[in-house]
Order: sequence, then structure tokens, then C-alpha cells
Amino acid sequence: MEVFFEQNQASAKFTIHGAIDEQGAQILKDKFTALDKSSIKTMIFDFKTVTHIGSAGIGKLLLFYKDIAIGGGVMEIINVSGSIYDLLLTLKLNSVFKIQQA
Amino acid sequence: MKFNDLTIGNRISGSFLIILILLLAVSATGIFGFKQIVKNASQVIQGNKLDSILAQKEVDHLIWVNKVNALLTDEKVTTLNVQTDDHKCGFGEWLYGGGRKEAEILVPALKKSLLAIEKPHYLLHESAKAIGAAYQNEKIKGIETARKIYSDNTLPALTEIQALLKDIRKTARDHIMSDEAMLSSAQRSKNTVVYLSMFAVLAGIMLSFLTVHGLNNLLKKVAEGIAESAGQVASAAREIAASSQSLAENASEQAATVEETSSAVHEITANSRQTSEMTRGARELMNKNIESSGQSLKAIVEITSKINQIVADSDKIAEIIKTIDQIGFQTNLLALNAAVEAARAGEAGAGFAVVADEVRALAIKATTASHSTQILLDETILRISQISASVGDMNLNFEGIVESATIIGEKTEGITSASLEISKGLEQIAAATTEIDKITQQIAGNSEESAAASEELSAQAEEMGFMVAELTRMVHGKKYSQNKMDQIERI
Repeated sequence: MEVFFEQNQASAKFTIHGAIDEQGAQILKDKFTALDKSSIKTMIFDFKTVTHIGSAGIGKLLLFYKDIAIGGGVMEIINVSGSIYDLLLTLKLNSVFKIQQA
Repeated sequence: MKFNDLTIGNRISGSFLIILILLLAVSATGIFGFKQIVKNASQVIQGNKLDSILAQKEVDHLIWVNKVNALLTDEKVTTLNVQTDDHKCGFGEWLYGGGRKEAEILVPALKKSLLAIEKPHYLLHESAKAIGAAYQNEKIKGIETARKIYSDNTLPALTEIQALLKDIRKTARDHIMSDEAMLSSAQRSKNTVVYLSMFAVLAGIMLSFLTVHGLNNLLKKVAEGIAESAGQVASAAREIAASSQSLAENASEQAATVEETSSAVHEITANSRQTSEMTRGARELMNKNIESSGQSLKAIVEITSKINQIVADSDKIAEIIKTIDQIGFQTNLLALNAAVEAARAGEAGAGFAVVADEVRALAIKATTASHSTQILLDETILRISQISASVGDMNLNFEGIVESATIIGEKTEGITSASLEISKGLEQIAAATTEIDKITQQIAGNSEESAAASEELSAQAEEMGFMVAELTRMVHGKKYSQNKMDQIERI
């Protein structure tokens, strides 16, 4: 899995390539933890080229949400492909943060 | 191709064919010789018959002429008693009948002479007619006339006929085989048949010797080869029988072991299937857990937000309480001032002094209440701080729980997949084990059959040995055969 980060003032975006398995989730967490989140009000995760996400990845998304939301920010997942979108909806995560289908 | 390279069938067939050809040649030569002898004999007989007929005809004409002459010379003979028709005399009947045709077929060269003899023969008989007529008409002169006719016509015709008949007989003899020639030809035929028969017999003997000698050598080699092979087959069959028996025993033991293994594998497969079902349930639980975690996190975020709001609001309350406390303090001061002023006012300020006391009492109460509220607020803030800290701890703990749970979920998912794979693999192993069990039992059965077949093979090899001995006896005789039997028994 590969993760690219870009920030534009208060908006930051992670673009993820590949499968977010246990190892990928840990990489993502390490990248997220290293961020200075004080200035970030909008956190975007681009899932355009994500092929799979496991429980560990979803757990990390929840933790990212908590960190962002407690700081008063919002989190958004964009370009979510069919099967992953269905999974996230099954888990009712669309009621926790915004999910945009590809 | 060499003789030794030929097959037995070809050798025997070839030998018989050559002998048959020679026999046919001898027979054909003999038959042809006999036919030639018969033909020659027939020709000689016919030639001799023709010659005798012609000689007889010549004699007949001499007799005929004598009879004519007797009429002219013997006074006692007064009538001409001869055949005057040239077609009805003995020679005439032959010349104009079937005898001439047969003679011409036998010797075609006679045609010309036979045609030439017709005229003098006719003139001869015509002369007799003339002599007879002259003799009857004029007795004295008639004899003279008849004698003249006899000398002028009859005798020359007779001479010519005799010459032609000699010529015909000579031609016939020249064209018809003589007895000596026939004998010589028969001798040649006999010699040809004898020489050819001798050659055929010699060739037959030589071919028979070659064939028998070759077959003997061949049969000897074959018999020795079969005997050796029979011994090896018998030995191999015994080894196979022993191996098959051992294999059958091992296969039976293996079948029992495989059966136990199969049973264990089936049990493990059932357990694995159950584990897969359990882990499949764990996935659903994990999904619910994630869903609940999401909602809980959302609630925690809201609680945290609200607590922060309450903390922020408590400072405002403290400010208000402080303001109330200041108001109470100032009111108390004002009440004291009012009481002082009321005291200064004396009787007139007595009522005002009461009001001032009441206001002061209220101010003290307000101050007390504000102090109590402040204490309560401080306690509340303390508690909220404690709650905030607890929520923070809970946050951290929940964060850990969510992370651990989701990682466990991930691992459980992996375990579920692996468990399913294991279950599939075990089912395949179970099926393979069942198949192995069947094959092993089949091997055991086949090994027993193989052992039985090997024993049968051994018996057949022994039987083959006896047949070889019999074959050897046919080729080499009884003594050699006995030695061979001893060798086979030793094998």
C-alpha cells in the first residue's frame, strides 16, 4: 500500500493506493499520527485506488474521525468504490462521517 | 536372402515346393514321353498299315492283271472275271473312300502321288473293259486285239501304277517314323525321365537334409532358449509370488492404518468446519462492533464537546457568582451605611434601620448563597474535570479497544479465510484418504491375485519345461531329453 499526503491550508488529503490491510492500516496510522492536526479543519481520504479495506483499516478511520471531530474538524472519504462503499454503509459509518461514492 | 534367414514355414514350404516342382517336371516329362511314344507308335502302326495296304493293292493288281492275262493265254478261261470299274475294285474303294483321306492326313505329301495314280488306274480298268469287249465280239481276231490292248494299254498302266505305288510307299516310309526311330525316341524319353527322376531324388534328399538339419539346429536353440526362459520365469514367478504375498500383507496393514487416518481426518474436517462457522459468526459480531464503535465514538465526541462547553460555561457561572457575591458585599456595605444613616436619623430612621437590617440580612444571605454556589460550582467543575479526565481516559481506552478489536477482527477474518482454506484442504485430504483407502484395499486384493497368478505362472513355467524336454526328445532323442529333464528339475 502507498499513501500520499497533501495539505492546502486547513484542508488536508490522504490519497491511498492498494489494499488497506492490517499492515497498511498501521502505516496509515503512523502517517496520521505524525501530522500536526491543530490547523486541520477538513481531513479528506481519497479511496479512488483502494482495492480492499479490512477491519483494522476501518478501526483506524474511526480513530482518525475521533481525533479530527474532537478538534472540531470534519472528516470525509471520497471516491469510494462499489464494494467498499457498500461495506462502509453496512457498518453505518455514513452516519459518523461523510462518505462520497466514486 | 540366406537359407538360415528363412522362417521354418518358408523353409519347409520352399523345400516341398522345390520337390513338388521337380516331381511335376518328372511327371510332365514322363507323361510327355509316354504320349510321344504312344503317338510315335500310333504313327508307326498307321504307317505300317498303310504300307501293307498299298503292298496288298499292288499284289491285288498283279493278280487282277494275271486274271486278264489268263483270259488271253489260258484256253480254259473263257470269261473275263475281274472288276472293270476303277471305283469298285479294292484299290478303287480305298482310293475314293476313307482310306485315302486317312493316308493324306497321316502323310500330306501323298496327295500329289495319289492324285497322279488315279489316271493310270482308270486306264488299267478301261483296258480290261476293252479287252473284254474285243474278246466277246470277235473270238480269233478279238484275242489278238485284246492281246494288243493288253500289251499297249494294260501293262503300261500296270507298270505306271506299280511305279506310283512304290513311290507312294517310299514317300510314306520317308514321312512316317520307323520302328528304329520310334525305339530310339522311346529310349531318349526313358533316359530323360530317369535322369530327371535321379536329379529330383538327389535334390529332394539334399533339401530334406538341409531342412531337417536346419530345423534340428533351430529347434535345439529354441528348446534351449525356452528351457532357460522357463527356468528364469519360474524363478521370477516365485520371487513375484513372495513379493506379492508380502505386498498383500503390507497393504492390509496399510489399509487399516489408512482407515484410522481417514477417520481422524474426517473428525478434524468436522471440527474445522465448525471452527469456520464460528469464525464466520465472529465477522458479523465484528461488523456490529464496528457499527457500535462508530456510534459510540460519535457520542464520545459529542460528550467531550459538551463537557468542554460545560467547563467553558462554568467559568461564566463563576463570574456571575462572583458578581452576585460582589453585589451582596456592596449591598451589605450599603445596608451598613443605611443602618448608620438610619441611626443618625434617630427616630425617623427607625423604620429605615429595620429595612437596612433586612437588606443587610438579605445581602449576607446572598453572599452566603453565592459562596455556597461557588463551592457547589467548584465541586461541580471539579467533578466535570474528573468526568472530563475519565472521558479522556475512556477515550484512550476506547481508542485502544477499537484498535485492538478491529485488529482482532482483521486477524479473525484472516483466520476465517485460513480456516475455510484448511476446511477445504481437509475435505480434499479426507476424500483423498478415502480414495487411498480404496486403492490400498484394491492393492491388497490385487497383490493376493498377483501372488496366485505368480504361483500359476510358476506351474506353467514347470509345464513349459516338460514341453521343452519333450521337444528336445523329439529333436535329440531320449538320452539327451533325460539330461534336459534333470536340468529343469534342478531349476
